Amino acid sequence: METGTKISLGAHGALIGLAVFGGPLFDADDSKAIQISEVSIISAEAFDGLMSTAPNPNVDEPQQSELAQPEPVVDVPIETEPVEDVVQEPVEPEVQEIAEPEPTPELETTPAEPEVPEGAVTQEATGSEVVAPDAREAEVDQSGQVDPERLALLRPKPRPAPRISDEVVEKPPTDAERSEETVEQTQPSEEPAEAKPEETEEAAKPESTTEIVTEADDVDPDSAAPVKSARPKGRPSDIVQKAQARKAAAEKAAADKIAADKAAKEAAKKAEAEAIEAALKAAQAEASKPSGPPLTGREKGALVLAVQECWNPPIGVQNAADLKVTLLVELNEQGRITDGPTLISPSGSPQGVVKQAYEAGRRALIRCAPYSLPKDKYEQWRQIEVTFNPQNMVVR
Amino acid sequence: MMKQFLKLMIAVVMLGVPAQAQENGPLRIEITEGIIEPMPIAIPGFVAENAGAEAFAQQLTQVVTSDLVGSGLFRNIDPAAYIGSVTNFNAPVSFPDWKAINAQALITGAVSLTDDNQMVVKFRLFDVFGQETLLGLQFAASSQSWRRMSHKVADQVYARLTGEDPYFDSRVVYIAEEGPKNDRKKRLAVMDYDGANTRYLTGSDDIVLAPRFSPNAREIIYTSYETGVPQVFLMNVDTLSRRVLDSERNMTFAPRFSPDGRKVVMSLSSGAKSDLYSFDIATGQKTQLTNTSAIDTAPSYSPDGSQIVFESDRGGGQQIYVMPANGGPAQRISFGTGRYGTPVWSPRGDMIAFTNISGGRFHIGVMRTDGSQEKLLTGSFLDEGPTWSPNGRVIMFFRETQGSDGAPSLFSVDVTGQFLKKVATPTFGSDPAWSGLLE
Repeated sequence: METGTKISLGAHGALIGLAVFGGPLFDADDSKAIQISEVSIISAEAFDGLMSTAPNPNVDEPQQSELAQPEPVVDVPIETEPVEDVVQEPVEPEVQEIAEPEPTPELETTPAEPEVPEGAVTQEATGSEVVAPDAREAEVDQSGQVDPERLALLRPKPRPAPRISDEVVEKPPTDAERSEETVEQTQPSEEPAEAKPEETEEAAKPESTTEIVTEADDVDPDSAAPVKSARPKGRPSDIVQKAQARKAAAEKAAADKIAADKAAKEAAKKAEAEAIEAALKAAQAEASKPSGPPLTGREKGALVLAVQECWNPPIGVQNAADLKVTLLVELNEQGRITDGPTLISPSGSPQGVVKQAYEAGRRALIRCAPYSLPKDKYEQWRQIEVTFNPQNMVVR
Repeated sequence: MMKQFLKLMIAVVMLGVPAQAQENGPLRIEITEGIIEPMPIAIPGFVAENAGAEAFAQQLTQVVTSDLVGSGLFRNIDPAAYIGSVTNFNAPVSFPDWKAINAQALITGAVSLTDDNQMVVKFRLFDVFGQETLLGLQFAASSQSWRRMSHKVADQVYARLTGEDPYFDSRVVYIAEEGPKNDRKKRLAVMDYDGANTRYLTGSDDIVLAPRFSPNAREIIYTSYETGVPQVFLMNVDTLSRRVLDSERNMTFAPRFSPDGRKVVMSLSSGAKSDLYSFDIATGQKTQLTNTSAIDTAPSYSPDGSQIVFESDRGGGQQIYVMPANGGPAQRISFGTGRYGTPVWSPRGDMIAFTNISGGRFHIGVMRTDGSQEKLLTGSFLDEGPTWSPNGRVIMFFRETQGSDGAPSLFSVDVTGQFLKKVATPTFGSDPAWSGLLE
């Protein structure tokens, strides 16, 4: 056996021996290894803050407000009249106004709301009650003497990490790399495209809450939690090589920085160009909506015919001949009403028989929709002002 | 930088392009022609909210429906076509269900009875296409008044949907006739406007004619042959007490109350002529309004009480004239074909109804108060005695059939002349007079 081998064997044996039997020699102080934090009591609000990601129990609570509350029938004094011998005069009914009901207007596109059974109105909500968690007693001896065994079992309170701040942090500089490829100047596309909102990274997570801030402020300065750790020492190496490496790294970093600045400028320029391009595309998209020439007399006549087929004018009212009302509607490209009908003339809230005239016109416009109009002239009929004039309709 | 600014400006200008398509404002159209048809409405059965109210709920629904449909302005959608139903008055309304059957209006109601036999009627009116509540009211009264409450519900709906004054909660006094034509028994009778609840105020011993309601419907004036000659009597509807209006016992006929109810204008016959007089009911003082050799009769006040329209043959033929309420020069307003009589001023003041006799037929017609826009609404062997509904939209009259067994019946027609219908009465009926809207 050669000397080197012996030395190697000896050294390895010593190392193994040290590993096996060296425990008692280098027994670490467990009490120092475990960092103990004091247990503190947090408020229910703080707890709720911590549990903020839990589903809100109120979400499933029945919404009683959507149901019409039964109208209270008010006891009213009844005016009675003496019973007649020959002509029996009925009791004069008293009139009371019923409070505004709560119907549920529904759009055509939505399914009809199922009728809610009456009993559901008074049904008790179950399983939706929010129970506040019980505050536990602190498991710390009030005398300040802490049992070491219990301390060993207790988890150390972690050092409060820098929590999310309410302050909005500026967007970090774009990490840009030098591109090897030459980017050609962008050209506006011939085809209209929808402008997409530019995606931006969030500078800070939007989960900053009051509770979290409160908890972050509630840091115990006497906490035993480690604040910082020592930087591990590196292995000794060649200082010259290390210095050269550092110099090269510094040069490279400087070059990278210049490149990054340049790239950032280019990126900003590019972003600006993209914004302009997006705006132009959006404008083109809008402009590409068909406007076309004005409606022909025939097309206009067809629209008039369509509306008048549904118009049942209030011909009976006094001075109906003067009941001219003008309504405004806005249509989508399918000819469906998207806004209105709105009374624009006479202005103001409709009063008296104008109300009936307005309602008759409104019914006519709604009943006869959708309207079949040339789609290539959409911008010509997107808004329509309809005047209902019953002058020729009044029958005496 | 300038270049980019210019690009931005171009974009902004291009964004403005769509607005230029309607730079002259929205497309404008005018609708001058429409469809004259009854408005389709849905009246689901009123909900009985407690035991004992079921029968009332059903009857109320029927009367409300009958009132509205009977006006000629509404058409009831057959309940068999309903998609939705109303079982709870306070449940939300599903408008699409009613829109699908083209119900332009929806009426829901509920009836409940209290322990002391009082009835509460609640109802709501919805604009189905406008998806809004137009009305919500409740009435409370004795269950004996269920018909009046029905009429009141219908009145509210009618007024809200048409913009006109209502007329369903009103009464009609008329001459109830029975027996063969050559021995016809006549009694004074009062009924609801729709022919229900007829009650007789007099016996059939004496001939009675042309009854008229006072403005508050508490009194009736009528002509009776009780004393052997035609005389105007004033009757209290509550007590049925009556008295001759003219203490001098002249031959008087064709009476009518003034709008304030304090005076009565009527004809007083003297020899071969008859003149118009006004009588103060409280004092009995009479004032002569006309003094001609002709027959002036059938006077009727304008609603403001300032004028009187009447018929006269002073021009040779029977025509219609208008004069100041205190007398004075009369102006003829009828110039159409034939003879004109029994003019009645509309409660709205805008028209005068009359009987026209031309071409061997009788017609009920209307004209403006200056005689213009004359329009005949009916025509038959004998149509006569028009009377206005409280809102001036409907005219009731009587039509007598031809022949030896001919008999009179009550009819009503709206002012357009498009909706004529017979009013069901237990007996023959003539000389109707409509009350105002009951208080």
